[in-house]
Amino acid sequence: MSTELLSGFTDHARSSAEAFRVMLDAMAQPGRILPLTPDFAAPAPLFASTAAICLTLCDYDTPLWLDDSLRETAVIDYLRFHTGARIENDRPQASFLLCTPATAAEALAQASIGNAEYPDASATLIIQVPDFSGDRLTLKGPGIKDERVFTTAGLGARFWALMDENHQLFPLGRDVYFAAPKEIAALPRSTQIKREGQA
Amino acid sequence: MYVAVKGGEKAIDAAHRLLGEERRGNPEIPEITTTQIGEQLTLAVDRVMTEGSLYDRELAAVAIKQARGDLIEAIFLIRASRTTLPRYGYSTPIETSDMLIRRRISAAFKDMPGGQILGPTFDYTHRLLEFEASETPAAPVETGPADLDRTMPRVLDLIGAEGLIEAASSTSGEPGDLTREPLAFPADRDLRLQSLVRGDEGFLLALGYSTQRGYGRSHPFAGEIRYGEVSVSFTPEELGFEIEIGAIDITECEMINQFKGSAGVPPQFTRGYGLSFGQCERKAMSMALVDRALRVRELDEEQTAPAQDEEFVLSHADNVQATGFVEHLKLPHYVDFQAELELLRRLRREVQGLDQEAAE
Amino acid sequence: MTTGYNFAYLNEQTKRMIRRALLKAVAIPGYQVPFASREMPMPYGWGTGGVQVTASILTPQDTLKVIDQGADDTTNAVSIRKFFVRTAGVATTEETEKASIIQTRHRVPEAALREDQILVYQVPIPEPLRFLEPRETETRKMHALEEYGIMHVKLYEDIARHGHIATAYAYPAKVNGRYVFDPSPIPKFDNPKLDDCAALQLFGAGREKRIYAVPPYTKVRSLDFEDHPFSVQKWEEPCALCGSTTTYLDEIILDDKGKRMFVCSDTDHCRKSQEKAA
Repeated sequence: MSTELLSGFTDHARSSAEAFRVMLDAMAQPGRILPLTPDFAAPAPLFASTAAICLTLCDYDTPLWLDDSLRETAVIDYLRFHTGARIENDRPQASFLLCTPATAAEALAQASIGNAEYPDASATLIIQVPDFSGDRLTLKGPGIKDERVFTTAGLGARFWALMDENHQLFPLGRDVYFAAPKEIAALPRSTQIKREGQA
Repeated sequence: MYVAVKGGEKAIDAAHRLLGEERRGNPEIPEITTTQIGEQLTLAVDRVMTEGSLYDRELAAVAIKQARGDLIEAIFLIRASRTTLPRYGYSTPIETSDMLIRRRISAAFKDMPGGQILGPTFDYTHRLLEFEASETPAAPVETGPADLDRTMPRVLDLIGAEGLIEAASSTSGEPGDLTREPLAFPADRDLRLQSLVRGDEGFLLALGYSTQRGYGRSHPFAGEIRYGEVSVSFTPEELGFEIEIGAIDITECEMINQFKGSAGVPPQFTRGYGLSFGQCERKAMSMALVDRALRVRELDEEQTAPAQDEEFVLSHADNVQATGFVEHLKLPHYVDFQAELELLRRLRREVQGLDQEAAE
Repeated sequence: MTTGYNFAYLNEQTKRMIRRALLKAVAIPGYQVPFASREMPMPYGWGTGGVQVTASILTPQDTLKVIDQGADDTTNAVSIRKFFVRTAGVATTEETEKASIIQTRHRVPEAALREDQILVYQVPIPEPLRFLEPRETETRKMHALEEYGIMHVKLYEDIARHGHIATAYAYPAKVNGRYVFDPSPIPKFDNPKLDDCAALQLFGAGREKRIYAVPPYTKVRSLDFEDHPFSVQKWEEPCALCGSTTTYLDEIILDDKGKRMFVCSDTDHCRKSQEKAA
């Protein structure tokens, strides 16, 4: 057991509102990298940015799945205490899935896509990435004037192939947040993604 | 020169001051107190608590006074206050067979264990205005034998053993809560009942009445109506056992309805259920009729009447929603009205143009 | 600022629920996300959906503008603005350019909006198919199957009968080539402003418990037919105050002998134009 529980937002109502606006802007402008630097520290290996997303969106109505690298006691205790969310073991049952580049493809493949009448009954992935450099992608779709170039680290061909399938499912599908230690970006299901070098 | 209308804020403040004056009435007449409302306009308080979805006699009395006696406005005040309250959890289900009875009647049986208890009711009053009533102090009421067993079994439990009446449905799992999740259709009975208990008394009364007149006829008998006090218990997570947190007055109505059976269900009596805070007997009875009418799907009946149409009934039962949308027509709509004017003028010009062409 | 209530009135649990709905709405443009709308301290029909959306996105740094019928000083706009000043202590403005969030009923401001602005619409009936099919179970299926035939039939019947599509406001449009949606009761004059708009547009229907969105730079195509293309209202005279010929005008009756004048519905835009001309 961890000795002391780290705190969350100091002024929850105001700080979570500020965090949410960043998250909303990120989702509304896919691929745009925006600073998210909350006023608290999260237990490693959880980034403070990831924690801010969880504390802003998760509660006892949203089962939360974590990959093995994040399933540290300190992280679980912290998220349980601050969000009240149930830690879910079964990926398809989760509303939010916290993962890292190594586990992102499998999480994406198994996360809920909603159904034709309720496409909103789907999951959101939060992927911790070291930084926003690496794979170059060209994005098109709602929220993007003409095209936007987006780069992110270490997700690999299988992940991007699955993201393409995810977009094909529209209006079903999952939405993805990428969280670097101090920045976030989002790719909703509505975004069309082209990898560099692809036709 | 035309000057655009200004001063919305001043107008609002002035309107609120006038409202305060009207509410107070003639200052030479003593001001009514919320305690008086709570003690003497009890049925108004009961209705506001039931449809406001909050058991708090004092707050309901405050709301009635603030609303100048407009009960839907009072219900709205209570709902708006309720939604800001923290939620500690759900009580364990109340046990109405343990009710401390003040009134209990059955129209289906002449007598039954516990007997018929008339209690406080308008039923057999002669509706003659009692001009002196307010001035004559009431004589103490004979309360009947002090040793009356005030808890008694539910009538429908007494006849249930024979198998003539369907078992009270007990769905497994937690009941839903439409104040936490938006209602989706088709809705199960738990959510239908919650919607009905919050629903407008007048609307349910009219719908219940329509079933009696053949629009979804269900041959009802008032199996039992009981009014009295039940205790409310709660199991705090950290204690792990149940503790009693208080008592509330409620009215429960169980209707017995004839049912000829269908492909999937044998002939038997079926049930309609009504419940309210306080003594909202008309509401509980209407609710029981509408509850039964809405059970068409599970009983494999043909849906023919408005009271059986769950989307229609549940979408329009809430008087806070209904009054909001009806009354919002008071808000300015002149932009859309201008759009309609423009369209209508154009259409009429074209019609006249055609007429002229035809005449030439 | 009134204490005793949470920042922006709603409690945090409610905001989380609405925020989740907002993100889904943005991810699925034009799709109506159900949400557990709360009773607000103003009546249903007065903008409870818009108010809940604004309360959930508002930060202490925001500057809020509230309009009703295009005007900042209509009673309900005044009342909603006052509500947020009391419960959130935010700065307010009547100037479109200075606002970071604009809550509106029935109009889209005339000035083009920017990427750093959010427009929040108050919506009475979010379902564009509702007046053709009152049942939610049916309309939900139609959206799922992208089956919008009845809407086209209705519009075509208008043309057959009147020679025009007889819908002057709340004119249906298709978002991002997928969902037919109701842009709220704005005059169809405003529909083109929704298309490819730089600002995020959020729609809240409190009584009907639905939230939907149009992200920035998203296609919003008003429904029409090749031989009857979509068109907007025109006036034969300019605004009597600023002389504009490109804005939406309100008709003011001046006497009982048919005398009338036309003035801009967007009061801020009209004032700016008058100042520029002076």
